[in-house]
Amino acid sequence: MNSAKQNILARLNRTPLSAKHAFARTAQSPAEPSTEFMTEQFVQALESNHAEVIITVRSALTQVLGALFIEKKISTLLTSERTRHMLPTAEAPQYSEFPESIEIFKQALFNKIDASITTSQGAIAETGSIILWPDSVEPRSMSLVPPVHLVLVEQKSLFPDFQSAIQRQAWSQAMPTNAILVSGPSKTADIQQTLAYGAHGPHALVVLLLTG
Amino acid sequence: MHNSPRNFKHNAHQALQDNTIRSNFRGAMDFLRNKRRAAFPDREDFEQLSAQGAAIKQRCLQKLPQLLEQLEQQCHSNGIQVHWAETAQQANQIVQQLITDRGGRSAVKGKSMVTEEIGLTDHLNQFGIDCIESDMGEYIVQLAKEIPSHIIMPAIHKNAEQIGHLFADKIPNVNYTTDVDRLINTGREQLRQHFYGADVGISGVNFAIAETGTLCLVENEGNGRMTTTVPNLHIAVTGIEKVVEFLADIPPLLKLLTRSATGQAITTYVNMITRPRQDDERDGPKEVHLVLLDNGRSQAFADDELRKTLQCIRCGACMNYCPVYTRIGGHAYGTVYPGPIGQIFTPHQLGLEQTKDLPTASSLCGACEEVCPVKIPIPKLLQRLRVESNKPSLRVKTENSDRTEPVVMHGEGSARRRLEALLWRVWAGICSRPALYRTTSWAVTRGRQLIPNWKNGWTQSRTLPKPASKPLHERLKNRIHS
Ligand code: SF4
Repeated sequence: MNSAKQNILARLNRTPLSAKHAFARTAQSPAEPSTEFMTEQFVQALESNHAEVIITVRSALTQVLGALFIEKKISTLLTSERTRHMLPTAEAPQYSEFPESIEIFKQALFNKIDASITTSQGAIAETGSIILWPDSVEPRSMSLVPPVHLVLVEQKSLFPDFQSAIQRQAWSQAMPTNAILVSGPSKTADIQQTLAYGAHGPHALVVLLLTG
Repeated sequence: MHNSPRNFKHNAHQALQDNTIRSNFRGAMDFLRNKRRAAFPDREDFEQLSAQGAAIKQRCLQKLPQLLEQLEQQCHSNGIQVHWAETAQQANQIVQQLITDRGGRSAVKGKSMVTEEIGLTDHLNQFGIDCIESDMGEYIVQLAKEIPSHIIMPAIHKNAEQIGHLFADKIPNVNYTTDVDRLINTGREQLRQHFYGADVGISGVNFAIAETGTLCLVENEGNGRMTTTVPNLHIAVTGIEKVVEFLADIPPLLKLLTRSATGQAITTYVNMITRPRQDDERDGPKEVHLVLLDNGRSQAFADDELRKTLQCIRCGACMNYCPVYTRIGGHAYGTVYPGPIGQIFTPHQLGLEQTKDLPTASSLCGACEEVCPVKIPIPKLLQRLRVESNKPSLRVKTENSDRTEPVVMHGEGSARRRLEALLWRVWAGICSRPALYRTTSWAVTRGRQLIPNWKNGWTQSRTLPKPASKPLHERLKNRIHS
């Protein structure tokens, strides 16, 4: 429908527009907040959005995960080569990895997986948001379809706000196929303004914040 | 309720007498207002941020044609195919053709007002394509065979009891309950089957970024991510006004949108789609298409004042604060976009003839403008539309053909009544001729007992003021003489 394009653009171009206009650029961010401040802000925001946050040193991660699997009664976990080596081996759930395409995995993904574990691209303190750039190792549906999503966040990858994350990670130069901010478990207030969790995505989000 | 803005007055009367509607909306509006208030505790902060939001949208509108071409180019190089549609019909056809060509039979739709605007679901049904709404509120509304009554919370007109009955009636093996968690779980289970099996996912777009060719979608439920991740084909439909220039424009607009809409600092998911599934990737749609829709937007664009209508980021705050909307609810408007934004936006789609009651359904209290995160002067635009609908209609010749076109917008002049216009002309004539003015005012004041006490329209709930026994001019003259 090329003519539709031409017609629309012709109509728009018929209007003379003045070139000058207020050009508002984002106000300069204030001084960089400390890591402690950002951590606190991050944890608070996530918890108020019903996410669980566990702060742990990397060396204790395997142990923490083991306890978590028992507590959450996770018997099947979707993992990847990025996280596999951190997982406990004794009394462990059944681990599986994403095969070469969702087409051959859909049935299991929707019906047989209790939880998934993924890494993250960073996080935003102000709003308690995890930045995900899913890729071939950790595909998009991993953080979406299983009822529980466990996600690893490095404390040193906390940004004060969304704008600074975009700038410092130079997003606009290399946008991934799909970038996602996750700020809690899936939720809805569509029935009489009553908040309910687990609308279509995970009903639990567990953030493992790795210090040191 | 009749689904047309022509029935606005009738619908409004009916809605005012419906106690369930009134209490459902009252409760919901109070809830949303409180949430918004808590999200903007500081008036100054809001002013600063909304000035920034308005400036961004104005800048992007200033460059609209150029940004649209840039968006198309960027999308194209990312592997997203772009289609242009002048009308709802064209957009529907494009979407249907894309699905039919690939042998698709079933679609899931993420929450999107623009697909409501074009009536996409009905169109697809006619071609044998199932189209299921996947946002919980939209799903409820579709199950009840209704239309959304609010742009952010589509099922706001229903309470939990009504939804409990609806589910029990319409979904096999579901018992009546008012437990919201159980209701949502029922919806989740039903819709998961559709995400699983659908051939195509259809979504709207909150912001389309020209710089990177990225589609940005904002949501809480995850249905938007499901829709744009699981099926093999993703079709996004958006109005041409949703394009922004830079990725860096997103953070301030996002902040304004989520806080104004539901009082959240951010929604659960912000989903930014730049490419279809790449060769080495394992999921995501293999094809992504973007349909750019005009449908009256270029008409609003052509006028410096009316162009501001296009700054809207569809947060819904103007309806939450509108004293008219709060009382009559969203369905009474008979339009897809209800409330103040619908009143200024819909006339460009349907023409003023269909919508001439909308600009007058306002006391011009100004609450909408005060809360609008992109500073759209809604009351002013309503007044402007009143002028447009009451002016004498003059059609002008188009540049290259013999067809005539309205000067500003379709349906202009359609609320003009000959008798009323004549009366104003007579009034102006009297007022500009002193002798005539004196005679007339003498006659009116002396005959004031003869003026009947009409009881309709304006005087239905007001007493018609009686003229004084003597005109002011006469009294002053007597005072000076005595
Ligand atoms: S007009 Fe303003 S307040 Fe109303 S929906 Fe649009 S952006 Fe929100």
